[in-house]
Amino acid sequence: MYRCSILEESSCQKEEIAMNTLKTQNLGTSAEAIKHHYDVGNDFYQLWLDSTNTYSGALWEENDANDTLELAQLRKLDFHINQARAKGAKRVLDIGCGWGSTLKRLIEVHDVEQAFGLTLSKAQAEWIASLNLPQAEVKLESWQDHSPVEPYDAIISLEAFEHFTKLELSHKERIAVYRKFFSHCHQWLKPSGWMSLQVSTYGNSRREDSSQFVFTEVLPETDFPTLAEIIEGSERIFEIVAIRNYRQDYEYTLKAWLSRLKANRAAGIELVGKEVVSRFEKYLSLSSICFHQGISNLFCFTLRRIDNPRKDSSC
Amino acid sequence: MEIQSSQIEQISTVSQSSNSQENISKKTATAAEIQDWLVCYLAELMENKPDEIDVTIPFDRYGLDSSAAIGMIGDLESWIGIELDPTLPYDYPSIETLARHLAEESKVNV
Ligand SMILES: C[S@@+](CC[C@H](N)C(=O)[O-])C[C@H]1O[C@@H](n2cnc3c(N)ncnc32)[C@H](O)[C@@H]1O
Repeated sequence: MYRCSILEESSCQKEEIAMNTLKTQNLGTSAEAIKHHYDVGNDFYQLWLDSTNTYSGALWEENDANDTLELAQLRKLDFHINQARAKGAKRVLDIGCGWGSTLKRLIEVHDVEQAFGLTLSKAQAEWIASLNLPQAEVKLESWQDHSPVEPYDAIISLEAFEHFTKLELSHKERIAVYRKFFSHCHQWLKPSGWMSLQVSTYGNSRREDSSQFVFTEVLPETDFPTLAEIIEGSERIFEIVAIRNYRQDYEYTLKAWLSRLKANRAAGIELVGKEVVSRFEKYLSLSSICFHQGISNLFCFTLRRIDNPRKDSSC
Repeated sequence: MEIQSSQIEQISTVSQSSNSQENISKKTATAAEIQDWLVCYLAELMENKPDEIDVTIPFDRYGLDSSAAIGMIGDLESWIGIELDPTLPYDYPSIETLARHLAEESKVNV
């Protein structure tokens, strides 16, 4: 097994060298742009996210009128933890860990020994530190700079992928970033390790149709991939075991957030001002239309590390 | 309907002027009242006369993009006094169908 991973490293060398030019360059969302969106105030997000502060599409139980946002978020976290085969694992990585709901769930419900989280948001890192989870370790660090001391048993990443590139990148640059991301995950995972990924993508739309409002005012320096780009980015690095589109679940999640934000509008204005509140209301409304119409999709991928990647290609 | 934000500014101006005349909560608005509101709203937005607005024509034929649709639903929400989904104009894509649906809804919600 170990011999295998040494061999893989050498087969990755070519790609690594090619990637060196990209190494120090951040082609995704800058720390400044992350701050603009995620650091508007933890108390503001608490007004409209669920009690676990999960900030990604939830998985709803169809035909269950009693389903709640909290339950749907926990169902989603459990789904990814199962897909990544993380239950009872020693070391699990969450790339783009938000306010730590996955880390907490891994430790408290799924008996994971150590859960590691990466985020670029200082407010999120501080929040997780205050959760009093001795088995969780959070770093204010980009995946690009991450270098674990030991490999992980499983990796989860929920809606962070959208921050890895931005609108103005060429196709080639974008695919290079995605391949670099999957190559890193490959290196960090133990042989036959699993990864569960959730990503919003373009659906029945093109990049040139994308909203200026969303990608400049709300989430600057961010961009969705297409399904094809994720596949191209992961080919011969990870095997795609399952893909499912949960766009309707995202529509329900966005509407639940919007409804909570509207119900707490006055408190929101008090905390962050009128302009920020109406920006978020507009963003949640626009996004719910996009997922309703299939302009955007929400994909969950179950991925298994390919232990013997084809040699003459980029690993 | 394209995803654009260009009309957001415009919408808030429209909302101020069209709603200032009537700012009462219409919890039991009838289909006819809602239809009149929508006709006036679109007429003002499109700089048309109300009698030039056809209630059976889909919203996007009036050039209503998603941002404008959000503005319209937001203003309608304040007027009608019940929470409305931003996707309503997509499920009920003309003035007539939207008004009829909302009249039913507001009855249920009273
Ligand atoms: C939409 S939030 C999702 C948070 C969390 N996964 C959840 O579901 O609640 C995206 C997260 O990705 C993080 N992120 C963005 N770019 C990143 C990068 N280059 N490296 C690590 N984390 C990143 C952000 O800081 C944020 O925590």
